[in-house]
Amino acid sequence: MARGTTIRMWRRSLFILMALMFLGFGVSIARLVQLQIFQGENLQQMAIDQQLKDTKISAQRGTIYDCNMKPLAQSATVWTVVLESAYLPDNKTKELVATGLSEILELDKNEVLEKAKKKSYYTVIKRKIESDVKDKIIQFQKTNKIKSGIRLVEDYKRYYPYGDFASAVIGFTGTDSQGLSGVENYYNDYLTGESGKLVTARNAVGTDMPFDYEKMIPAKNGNSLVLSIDEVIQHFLEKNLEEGIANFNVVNKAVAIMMDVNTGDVLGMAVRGGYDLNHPFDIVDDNMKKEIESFPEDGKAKAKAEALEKQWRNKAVSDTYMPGSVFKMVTASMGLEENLVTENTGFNCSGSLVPFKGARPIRCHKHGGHGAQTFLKAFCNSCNPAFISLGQMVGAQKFYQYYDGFGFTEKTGIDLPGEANGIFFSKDGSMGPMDLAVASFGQNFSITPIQMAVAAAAVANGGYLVKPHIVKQIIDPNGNIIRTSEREVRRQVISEDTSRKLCEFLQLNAKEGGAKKGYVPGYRIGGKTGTTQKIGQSGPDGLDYIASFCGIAPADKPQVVLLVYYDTPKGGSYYGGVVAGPTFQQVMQDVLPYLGIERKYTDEELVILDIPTPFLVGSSVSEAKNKLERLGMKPVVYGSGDMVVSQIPEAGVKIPKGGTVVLHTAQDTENKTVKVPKLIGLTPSNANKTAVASGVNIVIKGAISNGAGAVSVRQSIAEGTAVKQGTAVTVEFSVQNQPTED
Amino acid sequence: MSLKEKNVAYDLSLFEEVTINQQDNVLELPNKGSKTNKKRKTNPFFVLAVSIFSFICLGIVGTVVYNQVQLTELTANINSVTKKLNESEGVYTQLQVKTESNLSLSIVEDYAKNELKMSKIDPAQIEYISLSKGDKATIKNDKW
Repeated sequence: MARGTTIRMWRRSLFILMALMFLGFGVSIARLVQLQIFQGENLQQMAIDQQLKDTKISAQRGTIYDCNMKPLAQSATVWTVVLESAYLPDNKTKELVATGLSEILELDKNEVLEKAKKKSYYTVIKRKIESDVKDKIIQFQKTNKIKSGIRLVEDYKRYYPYGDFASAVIGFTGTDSQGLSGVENYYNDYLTGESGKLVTARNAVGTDMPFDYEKMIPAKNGNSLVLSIDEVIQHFLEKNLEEGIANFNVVNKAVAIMMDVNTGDVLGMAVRGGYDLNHPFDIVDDNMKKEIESFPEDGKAKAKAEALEKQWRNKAVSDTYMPGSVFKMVTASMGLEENLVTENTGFNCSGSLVPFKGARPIRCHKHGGHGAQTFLKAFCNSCNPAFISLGQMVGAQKFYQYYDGFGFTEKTGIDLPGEANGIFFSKDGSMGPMDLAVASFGQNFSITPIQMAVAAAAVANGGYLVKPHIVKQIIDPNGNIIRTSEREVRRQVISEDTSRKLCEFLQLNAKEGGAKKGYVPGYRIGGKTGTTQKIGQSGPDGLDYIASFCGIAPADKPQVVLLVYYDTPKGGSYYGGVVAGPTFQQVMQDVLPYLGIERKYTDEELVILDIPTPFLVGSSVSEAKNKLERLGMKPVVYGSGDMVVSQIPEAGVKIPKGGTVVLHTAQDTENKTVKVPKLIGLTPSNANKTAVASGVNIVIKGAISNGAGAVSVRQSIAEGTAVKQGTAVTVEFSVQNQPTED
Repeated sequence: MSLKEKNVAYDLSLFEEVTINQQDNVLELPNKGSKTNKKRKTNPFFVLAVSIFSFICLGIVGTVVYNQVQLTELTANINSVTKKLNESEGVYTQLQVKTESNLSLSIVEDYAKNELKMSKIDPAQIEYISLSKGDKATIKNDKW
């Protein structure tokens, strides 16, 4: 064969080969360029979406603690039961699953079966189940060999261990763990963490391939809040408010706020008529429930929504009221600060006052008039004419200046949602002469309870208007403090000297004036009562009132201010001193020792002080007699034995000095009885004498600071009842010349 | 043809008789002892080296695979234990909440008063003690 032919053939072949290769690869390369460069980004994203599974990792919501780090609200892991009905192979399995799940989750079987029959990969059966229920479901799956079709998805649930405790302050969260009221809502951004992500590879069927690819971005849990609220103080407020609501049939909730006058820390904020934070959508008030039921079907939902809004409302910051005579401490500060009056300035009260020519007279609560009195006496008498005169001396412009200075024209800035502002006569502060007259004793304008508490704190702490706050600290999940609430003084309203004088006024008022019911022996308490007519807001029965009491303690160096406020008491009395005073007294009796404030009795207090009966059972008769005589008690011995076998009253029961303690030295003498005498309508000393003469003891309750004017109104054991000798009968006293309208 | 006999005008060699050498169609068998078919002599050191190297490679690959398996198993264990920890923490919180709700101050007070017949501490039972604040000095430093 010729060489030239071979080479040519080779060359031809090579050429064709090259051409084919170029054609073939060229198309491939062109396609590659199109896919990689032009469509590359889109295709990469599609591949990622298809090949990777993105699972959200929920962040745990932060905890809410009280000031002593006691958890008031915290989240825990729970599960959502999800049915993947598309994976259930046949109807028999679906029936089995529906039966099992409905039994464990306490649901209607037909509803579950209906969901099981759908061809779905994700149907929620029940949310927020706890670990015991989850374990039952897992056991059910194992027992019945159900490998797919039921999935448990992790979630969080918010727990409130103490139910309705501090419900208005703490608030609650919704289904998606978002805060809907209270501190949960106000600090929602801090409490909510940042969700994490778990990205895993998945195959064409959708199953995870964690060993192929897995990347986790951990969730960042929410920050926690440390409140200034003290759980113990809050408990005292709520307990005593409940008692007051029951005793005086209060129909429209009650509020108590205790605040540190120097720092603005809110130590307790109780709104009774509260609700269980674990079940916020349940209506608590039975009357409200009945009312909703009476609505037609189409109106029920709206009625329920309105009822819930009312239930969740924080009355302490969101509702306004007319402060009444409690506001007189503010008017008094104006007069003293402007040097218009001193404590000895004379005023005359004839029972009413015509504020200006042509006006109708405004009456004092004492229709006969207080007569001539010093300003200090007028304050203790809560005399309206005296304060009208003082208001006129101050003048409308100056009055509004102080009104504004005490913070009544602006919100306090407390860290709670829904804070309202007060309502004055006009937006620019202008007042007519009648407006000035009634405003001087706290009528016809409205403020919020928190505004009143803050103003009272300013009166007590040297004149400084402090900003109140509920949250003391914010801490991160590792316990590091990221924010602290410091004392914030907005301005000084009155001088320290005026503040000191007002504290003395308030202290005297609590000892000898209209605020006697709030007096606590051994403590220097200062207070002012208020009885306000709900003008324009009264119910169908007629006039409704708000009974309030605002006080400070200790009056010589104030640390706390307490405002107690009952809306519409319907049980016998509506006066601030009668309704709110005992609550104030009881709260202070509980709180002041807890705060470590020492009791210091004056000599007059020691004289009328009740003494606890000592424990004498088992002692010899002579020993027991000596002990009792040293304490100023009278021993009465029955039986001829040498040893005391029983005593009446029992150890610990308090009786006045000179009270009788019966000592039994033989079992058969224990049945001796005496009849309880009439103890109503007597002064404390007469009541004690009568009781001792009859062989019983009395335990004194009520206004009894110095006994003046106090008369017994109630006895715990009825007259004529046969009781064992020495039995203690509780006698309640009330002050006779208590102001009836202030 | 020798150059002497060459005629430059004519190539007389073309006219000479060409004698064809007939080759014998006898194929010679290769010698058994031929050098070309002799087995190569293997170097034992080389073999040893190759074997050792192979074992080492196998060992490394095996170790890597084993480590990966261990890592995978440990990761799975860690994930499983972490999951259990989260669940346990959840159970702990739930139980703690239940305990706390049964130990609220109102329940405790109610139980103490009504069941145990206890009464509140009397102020007379409290004795306040004043503690001396101790010696102290104030150091003034103008630099601060």
